[in-house]
Amino acid sequence: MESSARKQFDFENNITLVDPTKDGIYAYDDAEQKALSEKRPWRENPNYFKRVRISAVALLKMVMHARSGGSIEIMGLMQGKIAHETFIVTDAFPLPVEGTETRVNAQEQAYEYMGAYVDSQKAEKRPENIVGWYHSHPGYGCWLSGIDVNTQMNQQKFTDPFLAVVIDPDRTISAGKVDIGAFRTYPEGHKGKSDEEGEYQTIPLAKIEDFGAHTNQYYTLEVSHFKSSLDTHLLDLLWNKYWVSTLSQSPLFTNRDYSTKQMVDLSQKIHKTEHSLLSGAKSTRSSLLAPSATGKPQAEGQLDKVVKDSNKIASEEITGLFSSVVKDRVFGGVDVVTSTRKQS
Amino acid sequence: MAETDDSLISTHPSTSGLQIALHPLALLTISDYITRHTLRKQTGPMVGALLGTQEGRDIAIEHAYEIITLVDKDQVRIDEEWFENKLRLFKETHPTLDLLGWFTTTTSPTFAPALYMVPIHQKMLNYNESAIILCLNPAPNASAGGGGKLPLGIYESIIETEDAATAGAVENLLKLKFVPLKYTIETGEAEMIGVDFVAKGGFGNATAEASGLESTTEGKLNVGTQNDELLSNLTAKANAIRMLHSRIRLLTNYLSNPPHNKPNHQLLRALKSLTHSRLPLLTPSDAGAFRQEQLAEQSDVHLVALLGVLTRSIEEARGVGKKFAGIEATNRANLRMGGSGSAGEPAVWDNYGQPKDPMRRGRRENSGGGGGAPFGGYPSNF
Repeated sequence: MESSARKQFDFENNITLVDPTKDGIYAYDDAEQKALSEKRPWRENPNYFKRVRISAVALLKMVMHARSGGSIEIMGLMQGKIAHETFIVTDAFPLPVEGTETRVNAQEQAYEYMGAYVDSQKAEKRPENIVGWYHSHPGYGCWLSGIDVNTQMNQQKFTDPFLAVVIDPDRTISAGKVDIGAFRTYPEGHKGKSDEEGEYQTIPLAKIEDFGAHTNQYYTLEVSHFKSSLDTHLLDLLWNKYWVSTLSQSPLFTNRDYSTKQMVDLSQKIHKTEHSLLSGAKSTRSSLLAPSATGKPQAEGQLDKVVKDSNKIASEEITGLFSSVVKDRVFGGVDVVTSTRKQS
Repeated sequence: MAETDDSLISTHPSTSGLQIALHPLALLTISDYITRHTLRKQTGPMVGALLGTQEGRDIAIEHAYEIITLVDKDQVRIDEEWFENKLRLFKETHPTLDLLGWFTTTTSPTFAPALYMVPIHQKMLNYNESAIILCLNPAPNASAGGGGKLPLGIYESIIETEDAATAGAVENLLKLKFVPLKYTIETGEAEMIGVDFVAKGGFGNATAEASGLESTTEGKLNVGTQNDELLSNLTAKANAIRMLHSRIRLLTNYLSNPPHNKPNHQLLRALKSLTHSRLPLLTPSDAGAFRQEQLAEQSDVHLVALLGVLTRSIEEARGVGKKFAGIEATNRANLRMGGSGSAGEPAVWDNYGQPKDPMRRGRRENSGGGGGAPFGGYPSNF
């Protein structure tokens, strides 16, 4: 009986729910990877990589790791492969370091850990290389700060292809969808289009200078994710179990801290905008509502941003209210039903 | 197929009272492992570790990773040196998690552990003396029992001393028996959003590498991110309510049409306790205070929304004021020049989208005062 143990295990490997064409992304071709990394098309074209595809597991691991850090920035590495203009992230693992300030000092320790971890992975026949790093920006959006740009630039110089991913766990919770961004920096000397703003995002006042200062040094990659047929199968079954929590959550309550912080920040911004608008207005003797036509364009932009920020906060709050109203409508009337049944 | 060996399953119900909470991440990790293993045509058994937290009788399976197995003389065992090393690495970044047990795949429709799994389980007992085992059947039709159950079983092991009679060739192994454990699905908040994101959004399966990706996102972005968020949020809610509805209908159908011969008393009792003792819990004990709190929250949100609208109005009013100031300035200049400056004028007017002559003339006349006139001309977002 024991002698057949291996055969039994091998038999178990014959899985039909894995479709070789549909799940092709999970395969790994060593020769192909070597060929691609020897050609180095990204050397000629700094915009070569355009897309990132992240596996379900890697995405989940990163989001949960980011959330577990609370208001502390966490950091980890991603493993995967490259394809035509695309990074494919198959797995992610955390590093035992945290925080912006410590990031530079902690690299020694991080490298050591990284080496040990990758060795252990290779031993289990997972030959994927490190393709990038991820870290969290709790509450202030997905973009690269000055330190991030430097780190990423260094990595691209020495370990290209390399990718930077940023996750905002606070916004993930408040918006109810994963807030994630993927970036690559331009080589030194190459200036990107700084007007390439893309989607507007709210940046807290304390970070705003850092945000603006480096936008022309990197560009954003399009992020999407993938899952296998087996994942889909299991997720469908899972939905049978966890729909309850969709109804039971109360984002207004769990996110109170975050939204308060957002509003404090907004009020500071309004104050600042008002100040700069008024000081601009004083010289030309016009009021806040009727500025001179030659008002400072910068101040105009500020007002625009304040409006966008306040709209964003409002829409998040309304979404939160929706879920509590839904909960109330569905379950609030329950006692009436039971009492009538008792009477009848 | 191998012996599913029901003899391995203890006839006694679980006495440990362990409560298992399975997190989706662990499940997806196993699934990812299976897919990868199969596609890369790797051989050998699929075995991995389960990690999580244990507090008293409550076990939460949060993480999983695969384990290297060694095969010698047709005996499968885990690579202990590697395993301990990996565990150490894992603990460094997840200090709160402990080794709980292990997982493997099975073809058994009952998900029961088979005899050949026993040696590995005994190794695991060295690391955690109450190690659990999770057997997943990845076959497409494996969700046995219907009702959308996950195709897996979780077991704890006990040592049973009885049954000495059957102990023939593998005496001491047979004393190890497995007891099935009940489990629930648990998700952290961030985890749930992640799972939802993975399950619903994005480009379903993993075929395309480079082609045909752009078009899908373009279409999505046009809706506007905020509307998009609201949409996905409401859809999730609608789906959940639909699910609740179908579940309730299932129950009412059962009640109005009970099976003739044997009504399931256990089920009926459960239903009764649900409607009579658990549902009333939904009504807060202090209804008035709850209502007040709810209203306060609602008006908070409305206040925020109102403030948002106000801010926008200020911006728009400011825009209007600015345009008005521009008009006024040119008009004043024109008056001063006695209407002779009409050459430079059209450019200014055109900027505001009002190139019509009569309007312009009419307005020039009352340019000194009247703030009302310019508003009429704006399509305005008011």
